Amino acid sequence: MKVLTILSNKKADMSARKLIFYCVVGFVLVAMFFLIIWLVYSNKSDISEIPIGLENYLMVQRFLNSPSCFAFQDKDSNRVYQWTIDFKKFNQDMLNKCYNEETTSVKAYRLTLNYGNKKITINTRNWEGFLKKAETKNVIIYDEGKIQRAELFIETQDAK
Amino acid sequence: MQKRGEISLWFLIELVGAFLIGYMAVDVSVAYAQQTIYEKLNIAKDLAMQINTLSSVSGNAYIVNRNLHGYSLYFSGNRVEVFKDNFDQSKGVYHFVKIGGTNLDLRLNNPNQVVISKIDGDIKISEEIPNLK
Repeated sequence: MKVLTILSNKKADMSARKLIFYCVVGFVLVAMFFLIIWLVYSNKSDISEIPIGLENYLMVQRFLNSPSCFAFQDKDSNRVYQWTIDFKKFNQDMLNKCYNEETTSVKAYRLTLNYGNKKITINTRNWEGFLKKAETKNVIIYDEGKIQRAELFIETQDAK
Repeated sequence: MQKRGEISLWFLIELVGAFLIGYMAVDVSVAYAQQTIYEKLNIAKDLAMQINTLSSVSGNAYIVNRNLHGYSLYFSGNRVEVFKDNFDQSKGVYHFVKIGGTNLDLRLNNPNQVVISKIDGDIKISEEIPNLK
């Protein structure tokens, strides 16, 4: 009986009609929005695409070329030796400073250095463990005055 | 009791809500139609990539950007925003990775140019070209 009273109530009737109106308008607005996006084809969207692999290439260069990362820098001449890893620098603290990122809005990396019988693995703070791509780079190691060949295994995790 | 012809508070709220939704929908649609959204995204990606590129440079360097099309820029944390004004619904946003102790929090309103530089291991952003040693 009470339900019938509410249904026949003019105010309740108005609210119900408004609710239906909002639902229909909301649906139409969303549909129109996507229709406009679909109709307005834009070749400018292609321009804003970053070539595949370029972003990853730049990040890897940071690890190998920057003295703020692992690149060996001669104290006397201040010369930086690119693709030459200073063994003392290859640690988690240095990586955190060089790749100062905690969110997964950018790529994440796990680096494994194979040098002689030593194997060191470090990862960026945003590494979550799922692998997208991996590559091996032949690098040079500077370890207490000695220069030797080594392999750097780089695992990449895409940004979310 | 409400008199005839009197506007209720709820009606005003609905009116303001409808106006806001309409404004946002038109703003975003126009951004797509005029393709400015890609222009802003392109600038944001370009600036973020420049920061990432300079971070991998071994010495000091800078890049000057003059093609900003009158947009404003906001660098904060690890992201760059490109927008027309504060009410812009379709900002171009992209992320970069910080190096060292770099902590950016800089807003540039309609700059003529923006200079991204790496000096002594830190990324710096300004409107003036820095003096490299």
